[in-house]
Amino acid sequence: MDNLIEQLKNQIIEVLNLEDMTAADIDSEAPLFGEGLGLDSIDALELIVLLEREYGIKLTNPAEGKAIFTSITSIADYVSRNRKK
Amino acid sequence: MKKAMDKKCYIKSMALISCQKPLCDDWFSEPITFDQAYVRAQEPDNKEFILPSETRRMSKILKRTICTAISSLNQAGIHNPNAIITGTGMGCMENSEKFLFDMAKFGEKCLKPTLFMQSTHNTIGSLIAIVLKCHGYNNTYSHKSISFESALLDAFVQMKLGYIKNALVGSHDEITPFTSLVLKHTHPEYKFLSETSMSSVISTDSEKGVCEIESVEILHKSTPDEIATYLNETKDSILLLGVNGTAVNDNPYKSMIEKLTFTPRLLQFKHIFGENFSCSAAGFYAAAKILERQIIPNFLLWGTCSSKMNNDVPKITMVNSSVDSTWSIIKLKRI
Repeated sequence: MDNLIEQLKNQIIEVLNLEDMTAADIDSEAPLFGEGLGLDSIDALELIVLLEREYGIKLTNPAEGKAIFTSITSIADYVSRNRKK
Repeated sequence: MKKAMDKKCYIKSMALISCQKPLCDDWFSEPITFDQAYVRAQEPDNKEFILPSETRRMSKILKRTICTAISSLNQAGIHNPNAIITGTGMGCMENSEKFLFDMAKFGEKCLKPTLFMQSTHNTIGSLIAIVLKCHGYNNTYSHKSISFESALLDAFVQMKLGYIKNALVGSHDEITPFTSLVLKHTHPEYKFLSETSMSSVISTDSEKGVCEIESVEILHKSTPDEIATYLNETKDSILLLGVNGTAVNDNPYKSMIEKLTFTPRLLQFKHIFGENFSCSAAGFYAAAKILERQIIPNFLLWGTCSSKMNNDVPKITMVNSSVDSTWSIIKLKRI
C-alpha cells in the first residue's frame, strides 16, 4: 500500500504539473480539493484519465468520484481493490 | 466617416520574448548570434507577472504570452484594453503535439482534458482575457506568416473608425524540437528557426508613445514588380526586409529592389530574432525601437548599405514576403 501511495503521488505531481512539489510534500490524508492541494474540476478529469490509463479503472458512476478522490489514501484504497493492471 | 478615418494610431509600449535576452533591449547593443539552425526562446522569470499556482497548466507559449502582455500593459499604464487581438501561425503547438501523440498511443479514449482545451489557436487570446478579466473584443488571426499583420490591421482599422481607443495586439508562435524537424521539410525557405512572443499596446493617444503606425497593408498574390511600383509612389528611405540569406526566400525581395526607382537603406532582422510564422512581429518590434531610439544598429544593415546617417530615422517601411506571394507592408513613423 505504501508503494502504491508513493507511486500515486508521483503520478499526480506529473499529470497535474505540480512542478514545485515532491511526494514528501503531499499529506496522504489531506483533502485534495478545496483545501490541501487545492485541486479543481479540471484536475478531477485529469485524475479520472490517470486511473484509466495507469490502472485500467473506468469510473462509470460520477457519484463515486467524490468519495474516491477525497485524499491520496482513499484513491490508493480504491485502486488496490479495483485495478485491472 | 472621413473625420473618423483621420484618427492616428500609435504604439504605446511593447514587450518581446525571443532567442535574445527576454523582455529587454539588450539585443540593441549586445545581440546574441547563433550558428545553429534552430534555437528556442529565452524564458523570462514568470513569477514577476503571474503566480506559480496559476501557471501550472500553462504551456511555454501561454506563459510567454502572459509575460509579454502584462509587461506591455504595465508600461502603457493600461490594465484593461478595449480589445485583445492576437496573431498565431500554429497556436499552442506543444500541447497540440502532446495531444496527438497521446491519441496515437491511447486511441480516442483516455485523452487529457487540459491538452484538449489548451491546444486550440484561440487559447492564447482567451487566456489573456481571463487573466486580465477583460470582456472586450477578442479575436485571433491564424494566417500563417501574415497572422501578426492581420491582427494589427484589425486594430488599426478599428482605431481609424473610432470603434476602439486602445488594444493589446500581439503575435505568438512556439517551435518545439519535433515541429522544427517538420518545418525543415515543409518550409525549406527558413534558415534559422526560433520562437517569438511579442505583445504591444496600440492606442489613438500619442503621449509617451514609441512611434506612429502610418499604414498596414496585406497584398495577396502580388508580384515583386507590383510591390516595387507601390513603394516607388512614396520612396520611403528605409526598408526593413524579411530577408534571410537563402535564394528561395530572398529572390522576390531582390527582384523587387531591382525595380525601385530610388535607393533606400535596407535592413534585416531575421538573423537576430529567427524565423517562424510570428517573426514579422519581432521585425515590427525592432523597427519601432529604432524609431524610438533614433539609431540603426550596424548589424541590422543588409547588402552594401552605408552605416553613415544611421542616427536620423524619420520612418521605417517594413516589407515582408512569403513564398506564396503574399506581401505585407507596415509603415512606421517617429513621433
